[in-house]
Amino acid sequence: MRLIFLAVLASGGSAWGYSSPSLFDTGPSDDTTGGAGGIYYTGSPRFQGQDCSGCHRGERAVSVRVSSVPEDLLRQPYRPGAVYHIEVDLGRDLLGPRTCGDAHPGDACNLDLFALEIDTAAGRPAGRLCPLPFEGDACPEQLGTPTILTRDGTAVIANSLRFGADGQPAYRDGETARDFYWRAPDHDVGPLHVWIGAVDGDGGQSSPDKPSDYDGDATGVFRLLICGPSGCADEAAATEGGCTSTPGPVGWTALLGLVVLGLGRRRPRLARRLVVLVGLVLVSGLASGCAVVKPWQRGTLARRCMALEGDPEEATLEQHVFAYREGAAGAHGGGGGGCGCN
Amino acid sequence: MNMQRLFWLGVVSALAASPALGQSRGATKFGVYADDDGTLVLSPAVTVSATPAEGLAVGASYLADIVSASSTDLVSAATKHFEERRDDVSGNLSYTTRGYFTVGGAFDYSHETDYRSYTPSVHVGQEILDRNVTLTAAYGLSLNTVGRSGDPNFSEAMTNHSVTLGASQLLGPDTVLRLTWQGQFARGFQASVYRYASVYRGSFLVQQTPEVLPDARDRHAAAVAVRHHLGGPLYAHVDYRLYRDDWGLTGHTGGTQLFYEITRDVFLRLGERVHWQTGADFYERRYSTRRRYMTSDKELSPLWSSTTGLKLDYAWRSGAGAFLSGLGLNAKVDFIHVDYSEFDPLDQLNAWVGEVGTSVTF
Repeated sequence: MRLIFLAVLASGGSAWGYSSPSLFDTGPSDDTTGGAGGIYYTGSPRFQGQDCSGCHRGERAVSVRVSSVPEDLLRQPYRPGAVYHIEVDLGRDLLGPRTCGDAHPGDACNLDLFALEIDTAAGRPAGRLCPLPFEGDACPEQLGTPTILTRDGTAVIANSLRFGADGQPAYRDGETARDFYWRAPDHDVGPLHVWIGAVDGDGGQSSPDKPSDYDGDATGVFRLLICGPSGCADEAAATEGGCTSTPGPVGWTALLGLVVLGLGRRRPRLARRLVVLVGLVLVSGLASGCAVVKPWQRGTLARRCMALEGDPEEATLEQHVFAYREGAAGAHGGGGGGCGCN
Repeated sequence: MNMQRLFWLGVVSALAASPALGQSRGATKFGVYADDDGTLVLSPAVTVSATPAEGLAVGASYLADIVSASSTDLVSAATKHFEERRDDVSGNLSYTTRGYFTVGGAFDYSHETDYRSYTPSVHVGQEILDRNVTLTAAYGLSLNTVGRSGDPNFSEAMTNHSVTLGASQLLGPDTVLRLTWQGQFARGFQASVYRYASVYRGSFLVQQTPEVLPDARDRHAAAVAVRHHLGGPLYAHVDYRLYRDDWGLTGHTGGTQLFYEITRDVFLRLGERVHWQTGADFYERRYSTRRRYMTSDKELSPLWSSTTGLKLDYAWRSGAGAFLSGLGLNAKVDFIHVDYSEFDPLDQLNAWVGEVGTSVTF
């Protein structure tokens, strides 16, 4: 995924963002604009928390309102196999219902969009999505109005622009909501999470031929919980930052312990120091199990000012200067912040 | 010239290995160090890196130190002035799996007229607990050959083993913590061939003898660093390092930095770093008798130093789909003050360090 994301940045084309979220589905080199190669920027764990703020650079936040029929999925558990009509409303529009193109010449294009997926607590897509009403078990069309089903069927994407037969964008005047359909899993797979990456465009320097200017756009990532028929408390706690355990820190601690034991006889002083270090690592690992920072909480950690590693060339020269001025040295670096922001 | 060829070979290799889908980065840095002890160092540096395949990263760098000096150390060595150049070329390769396990290696070659160093190193890292914790370990072996200018027959060896263990931990959405320990274990010739220690009787200099240092030195340093978003455009960084070696030198180093994010692309950093250290066990301001180990190295004497700095950093990035995905420009200036409480030839040192850097990302 990292390669694909970087490839998007590195491929040729203009300095504009995606003209349509449908380009999330295309390969990085499928056309001159380049696509995301299957990254939908929903902020979900399967995309390492990547979201719209990777390109859209506004300081303000987006608000969304999600509703569904026949039941409100955010208040009631889903029924296995049931079909729900879901609506996502980016109600508070930064620019307002303005547009560009033939109907509103001279106006900046107001590009609002979202990408949405519904995953299990383990991060796997659950149920089936369709931009149009299901016909039996089948989704009749990948393209809806205005939502689009991704090629792999794991997400729906939508924007406020539609492109006519002439390729010119047109804005859906006054509309802020887009809808789609979701068929719940045929059996209880536990609680589910709705992941939404959303953009509220501000128009900026956009024009009909370049509608996707991203400076000043508001962005947001939303994770909404849908309870399963058997409840949602236990699984939700596991994903809400409760204590977790993985073999990772245990393995590392065991490895360090072996090193300490190996050194203990020959170098007792060094072994004692390593014991302290092992303790710190263990405490750190245990602490992390109860204070997990989720991918969608890492926007600040991804900022340059939060990068512990900083400027590598500066660090090299700085260490060089101090090494010649002082008798003490070492313990520089030692790993980045683990922000998981690629 | 051979060093330049090596570097450009690395550049070409890194970029050639990077197809259109990968990301390539190039960076330059030019540093100037000038102190009131007569030392001027110019340090140009170039770095290139690329990600030719998923998880794979390659890089190469070149650094030069062009030194013009007539410092107190050299005067004590009866050398009034010298100019020298050090060339340093390095290459690195790393691979990160989809499970966030990283393994890599690097090689560094450094050369100057009287010193040559080869340093291969390896490192591993693992992100765990939903990438909240990063554990790293590294080992480096530095093989050094110490020479003496004007004496082709002089050659001494020094080997340094370096082990680094690190752990970083996200403490919350606004805070990150890092712990690092490094051990360095040097064996072989560690003295300066140009430095002499003096033996006094009263105020009379009775003997000058070449510096003699132990052939073994075990150094340990442990550091903790915390960075926190204070809110709005302000970020703070605090770090502390404890150093101790078996020559009896203990050091405490503390630093703090305040970041002000002027815009999303520009930040200003104000920093202060303070270092205090004891002297080595065998260091004496004036030796009254000849000792087994003797030195006149001011870096082995008790000292404290303060470094105050300012940095302005600008990074522009284009949107998705652009050929040129990022540009960076930064400049910094540091003022260093060192106070030597037990070093007769020099009681304090003032230095300026300036740097200008650029970077470009494709």
